[in-house]
Amino acid sequence: MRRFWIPILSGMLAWVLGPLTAMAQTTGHMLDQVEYLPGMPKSYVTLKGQFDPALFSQVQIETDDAFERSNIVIPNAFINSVMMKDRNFGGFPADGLLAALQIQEQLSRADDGQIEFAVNLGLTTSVESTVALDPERSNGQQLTLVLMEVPRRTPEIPVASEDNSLVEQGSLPSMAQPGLSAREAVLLHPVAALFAYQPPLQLNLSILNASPHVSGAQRLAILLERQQRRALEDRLGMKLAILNISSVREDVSLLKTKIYFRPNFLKAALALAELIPGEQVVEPMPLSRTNKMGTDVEIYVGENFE
Amino acid sequence: MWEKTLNKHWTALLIGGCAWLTSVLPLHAFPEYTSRENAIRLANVINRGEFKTFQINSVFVKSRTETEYYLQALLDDGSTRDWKMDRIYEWTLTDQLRLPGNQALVFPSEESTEFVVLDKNVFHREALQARVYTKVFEEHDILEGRSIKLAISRFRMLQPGEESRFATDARGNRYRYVIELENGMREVLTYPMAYRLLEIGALSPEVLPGDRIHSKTFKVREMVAIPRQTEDELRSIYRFGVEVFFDRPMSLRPEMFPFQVVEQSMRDPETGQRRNQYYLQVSIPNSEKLREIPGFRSLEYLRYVELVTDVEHQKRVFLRAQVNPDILELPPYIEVTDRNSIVVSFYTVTDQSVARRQQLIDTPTALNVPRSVIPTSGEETEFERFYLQAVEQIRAAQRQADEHLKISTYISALDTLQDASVRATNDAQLTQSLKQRDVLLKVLPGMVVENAQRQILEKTQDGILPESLRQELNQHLEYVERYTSDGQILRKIETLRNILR
Repeated sequence: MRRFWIPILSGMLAWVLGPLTAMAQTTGHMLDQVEYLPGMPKSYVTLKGQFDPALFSQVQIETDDAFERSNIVIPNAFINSVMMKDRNFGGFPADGLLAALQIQEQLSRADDGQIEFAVNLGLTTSVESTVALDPERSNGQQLTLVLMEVPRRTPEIPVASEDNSLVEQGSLPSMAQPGLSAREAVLLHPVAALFAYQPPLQLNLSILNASPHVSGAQRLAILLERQQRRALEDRLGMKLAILNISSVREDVSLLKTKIYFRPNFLKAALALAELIPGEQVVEPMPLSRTNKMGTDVEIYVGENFE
Repeated sequence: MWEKTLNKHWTALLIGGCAWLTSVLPLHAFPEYTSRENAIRLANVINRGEFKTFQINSVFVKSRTETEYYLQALLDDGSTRDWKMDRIYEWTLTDQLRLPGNQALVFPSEESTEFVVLDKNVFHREALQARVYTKVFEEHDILEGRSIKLAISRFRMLQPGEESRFATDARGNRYRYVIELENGMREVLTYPMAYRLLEIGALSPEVLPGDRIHSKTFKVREMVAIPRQTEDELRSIYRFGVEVFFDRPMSLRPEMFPFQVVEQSMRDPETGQRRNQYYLQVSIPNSEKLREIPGFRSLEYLRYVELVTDVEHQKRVFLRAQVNPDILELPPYIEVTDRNSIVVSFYTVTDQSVARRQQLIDTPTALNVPRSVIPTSGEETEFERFYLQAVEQIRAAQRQADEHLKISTYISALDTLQDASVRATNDAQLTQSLKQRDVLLKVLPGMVVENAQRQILEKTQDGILPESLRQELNQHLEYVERYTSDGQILRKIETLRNILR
């Protein structure tokens, strides 16, 4: 009797533990359907289903040198075979960038014996395009890829010095740089950007305490508001508006006060640095923070502010 | 009586001292209690772990109020202990609380009791197999938000002798691992850092096609000054610059060279008084200065232009210059050339007019107008398309050596600006496009007249004025005649048109 029980128990144990091992990877994506939004110079491919935004950083995108074919690998992803029966898509409208789309599920066994699963997307575009993950349109219910037409490059124009001779050393290429859109080429160049910016009449300021001393931001706000407002406004030709006085995370502490400015506010940031006692560091606002609209200059009050 | 007086003084002193201490000392405190869900999750993680020399037999969740939960642990010596979150946090920092299965408890933030579990075995394996390390620059680093891919030389644990130099980070997390990179950099990691590397996939076992992996630093070789030249004749902006040469082609993109202005309080060598000096620094990552490179004592508005090694960060060099903050109107612009160099351009703006205070008080319009007519993100509008095209035409004209072609391009830009104005959807867009048109029309008549005079003079000397050129000059003169009210220019236009007829 015992001889029978041992294999039965072993079988039951394997049956119970088998799915548990497969579930070791507790997060991943499930693709239900594909939606396409055509447009020029941008088109969007949206994958609908269940997604884990924490894993979006693992998505790999490769584009060939001709900018016509892109391969996207989404690790830890399955295709919902019930919802998505077709895996090859074509016949897209001509007013968009996408020409064809293939989706493949890829299962492989890793060296440690674990099953790895991924979904491969093959995108063929009708014109030279790049593909990127659109984080703003991606969430737990969808993952959006944005297809962007590669900007047409204008022919290089020779650069002339004041005496009309071509400059060899220090000569600069034309405005259109590889990988930059026309918009970026204008906004990133300080002189070209003057065409985009309007002279501001109000300086929106945010003061944040980034030191262990309490009320550093408040004290600086009082200093600027009560003592330096007139001098600053006269100098910059802008009204001063302190929109926010608060603190950053407790574990962030800066030795020196930092003044971050948005494009076109360098002058204002330097004027503030001159008016604030002590030593300051003035830097352009990092790209990761430029999406937060509202303030033109952010001051992080450091430990050196007295 | 004396006793009472002393007591009063002491009380006052004590209160004053406490007030001073609270204002000066950091008020960081890890929360004592957590949510129910987090407490249950933590109890599961800690269960069967080790506390100091004891085995943890079981862990229970207890509550102080409806929202404040903590843990109670039953140890193998039979004792039960109440564990609040701040104590657990401290024990994880000092390795007194260890999880089963070679895992580590990690609290990513000092302000929250949310935690993650680092599987050290997974990290070791990934780190040992990795060939590429993606260094993501931290918050408040000048390179914040950017990343660079570096080749890994080897991964190792922190040696006992090194612990004195690399004890803990600012939060008290012990340094554990070292990733040595081929360019000579070292990344010393704590458990939270290791978890973060796993989370963002910073360790890669293979080089993906198209990846630029840096295994060597860029060695700076020399520095050359670029003389002043016109950048924008419409606004009288001039450009000068510095070209920094390296030992090999520069493969970093221009956005990897950020700049900052640093204020330093220094003593004047003559008067001995302290004065604040301003230094503009362009950071060059993954670079080294191995020998002295002569700089410039003065270059336009820059003083003491030199290449200096960044002493705070590994393998970084600054292009540094003293600058007067009142003169610095526009930020520097960095371009990567195909001559093993980068060009750092600086700009001189002669028009520094600003709105007067009375204007601000009198202005009836809203002060918070949009900062730019070209948004940084979002769909491109019709106005934007035409406006950007006009800007590109104007910039192309400014770089054009041939005066006649320059004028033709400016006239095309005026037409495009007209197209943009027609497509404006708000006052800001219309104001901006019309403003640019007026700036162009202010300069263009003079340029057209000068060009026509020069062309006529040159071609008359040669003998014949080609018919096509005659027609073009006539068209240019006719175009600007419509927009100028300057009597002298109008008279010149009339004379020139008579000659061309």
